[in-house]
Amino acid sequence: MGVILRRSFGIAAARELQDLETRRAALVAERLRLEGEVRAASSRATLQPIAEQRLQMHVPPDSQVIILPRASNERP
Amino acid sequence: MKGPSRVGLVNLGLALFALAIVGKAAKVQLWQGRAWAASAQRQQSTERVIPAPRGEILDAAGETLAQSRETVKLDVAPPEVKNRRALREALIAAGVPTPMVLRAVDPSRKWVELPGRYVASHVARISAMRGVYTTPIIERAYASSEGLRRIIGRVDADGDPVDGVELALDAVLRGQPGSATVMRDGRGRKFESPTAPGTAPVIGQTVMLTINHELQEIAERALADAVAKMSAEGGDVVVLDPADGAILAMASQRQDPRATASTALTEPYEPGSTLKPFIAAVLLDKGRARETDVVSTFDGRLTINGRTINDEHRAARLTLAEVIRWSSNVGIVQFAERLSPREEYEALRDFGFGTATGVPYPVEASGTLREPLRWSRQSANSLAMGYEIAVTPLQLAAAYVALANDGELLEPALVREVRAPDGRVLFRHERRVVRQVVSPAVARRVRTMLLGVVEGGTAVKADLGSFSLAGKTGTARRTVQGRYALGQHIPTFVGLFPAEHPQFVILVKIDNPRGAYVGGLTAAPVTKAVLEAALASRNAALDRGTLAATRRERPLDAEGTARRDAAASQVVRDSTTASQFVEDDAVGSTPFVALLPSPPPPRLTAMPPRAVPDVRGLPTRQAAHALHVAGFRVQLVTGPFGTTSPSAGSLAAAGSIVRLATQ
Repeated sequence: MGVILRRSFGIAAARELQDLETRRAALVAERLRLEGEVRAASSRATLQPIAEQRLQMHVPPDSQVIILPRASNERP
Repeated sequence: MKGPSRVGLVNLGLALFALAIVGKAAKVQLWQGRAWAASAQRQQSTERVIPAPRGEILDAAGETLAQSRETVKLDVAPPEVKNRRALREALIAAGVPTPMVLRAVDPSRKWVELPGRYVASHVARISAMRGVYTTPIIERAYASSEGLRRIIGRVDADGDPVDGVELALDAVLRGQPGSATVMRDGRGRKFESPTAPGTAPVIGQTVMLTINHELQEIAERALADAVAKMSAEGGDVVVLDPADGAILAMASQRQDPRATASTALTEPYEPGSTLKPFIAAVLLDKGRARETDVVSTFDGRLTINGRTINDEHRAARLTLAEVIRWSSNVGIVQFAERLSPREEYEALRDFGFGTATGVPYPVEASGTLREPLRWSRQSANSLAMGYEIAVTPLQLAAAYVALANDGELLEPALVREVRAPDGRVLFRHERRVVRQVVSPAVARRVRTMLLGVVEGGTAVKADLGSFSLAGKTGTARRTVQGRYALGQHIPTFVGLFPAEHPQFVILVKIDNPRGAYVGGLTAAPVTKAVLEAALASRNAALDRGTLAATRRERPLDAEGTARRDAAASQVVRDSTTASQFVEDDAVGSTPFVALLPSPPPPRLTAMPPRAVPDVRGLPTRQAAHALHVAGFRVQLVTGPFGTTSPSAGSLAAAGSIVRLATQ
């Protein structure tokens, strides 16, 4: 009887562990998918056409780019 | 004598039966016990291989370019399904095609494999239904851009690499699969054995490339725009860091969808005039010529060894610097005659031509550089003009790195780091000098000549307003199946940015553009577009501190862009470089030396002062733009919003600084 109880408890625990592992893997996969979507949505290839067409923005010529000097204690 | 009673016989029979049972039990448990236990184990449990995720591929900033993630494949056993309606609705909601859904709920079918891969959390409700079976599949997810896919490559449905870095570094990226003992309970449900835990899979190592994702996207966009605008058949852009040979961007585009490789590594071509600076460099290095040496260029037409050579820029005489500036074929052929075939061959070989660079890529063309023994009478002249030699865009850019890098030829690098799953650095790229090709002084002198190409030669379309750019154009005839195709060209521009202390070596090559086809009108503007976008970007691998020190101020035109006073700057530059040549090359002497008089630099024409525009009430961006348009430089300061110093309406010199208060 003790052996049967011990095995039943072990099997139930193993099944629960399996379910948790499956959920963890699924959540990790979901996180990776969402990170990929964020990267794609924030990429230059996505944003630049929108900025140019909707907001009439453009890439400035180099003469309009101002390079601000960093403070001496500021790390690059 | 009484025989055994019936009861006795029955008892004996029972005793023998009991003995037989005990004997059988003893046989099963003692003699056959292990075999039966193993058989039971086989029936109740199975060994499952757990696939190992491949290592991540990152860009130089640590941004993920390729990664593995676990998805699931769905299979349905329709006879086991209890709630068909719920399953049908859930499958349709998950995006499974309707015909497959109908099959999955058809009880006459025994087993249905559903197409596609699903994120486990999206199909969790379906997976929990009776009759639905899931199989975990490791899927590779990539950054979406086409150019990056050409570099990174891909894996097939089985997870095996097909091309690109995935294939070249498969041994590093591939993980070590794990194993698990899976048991079945009374209902047939699977679970991992608690007594035999198995081994966990080991994830592959992480590979960090030298590619800068931002710069890669800039290069791809500029190339795509240029190819579309010029109706070209494709093109390549390569950006290298001359400090350590790192490949910062490598974009390729081809009309042919079968060309999935990075053609900057795999397709050699005749580079044309972009090869001339290397001939000039070796002439200077061997003391066979100076920048001021003059040769007769016969008004741009010379017949030599039965072949007529023409120049676009027709002149009677040109110095070596002018030969490079105007890309004179006649001139470079004349100068190249001062080199023996062996010297010319060795010089080009030393710049890396004819040898694969060795970047980790499954296939790389080594190009063609034939030994002098196999040359024809015209080969020396052809090579001087960039013909009879085939180079890949990466080889050519790497050779220019030597000019940008004081004569040191560096080994190009595509992999910056390899890390173990626990973060330990297993490999880190370090700058590797292949050889010193020319002296540092000669490299600087060639850079000075290349500066003249952009500021007043064949590549003025690449000239930036505020930063110096050195470079060389080339326009070669295109070969199709071993023959020159009529009217087809490959223009190229290779630039060193900024010219003083190059941070980028950028090569742009366009395949068979329609209309204008010379490098100065096609590839050079693309270079300018890439550099402008990189300057405007925060993460494009530029050292802005160093860059700010090399910034030069030029008068601004009405559109707010720098205006180049070509004539004035030309004279100033020539006189400066002439004296520089004498200083740098005190030993070389040839009968052709003819120092040109160096007139004093003329003063730039003073521009009349102009009124500072009133920008009060405008947003900061518009206010800064208005001031730029008016010809002023803008410095942002704190103070009453929208006010300027000098104040609106007051006169100030064009190009002077106007302080704009932002709060």
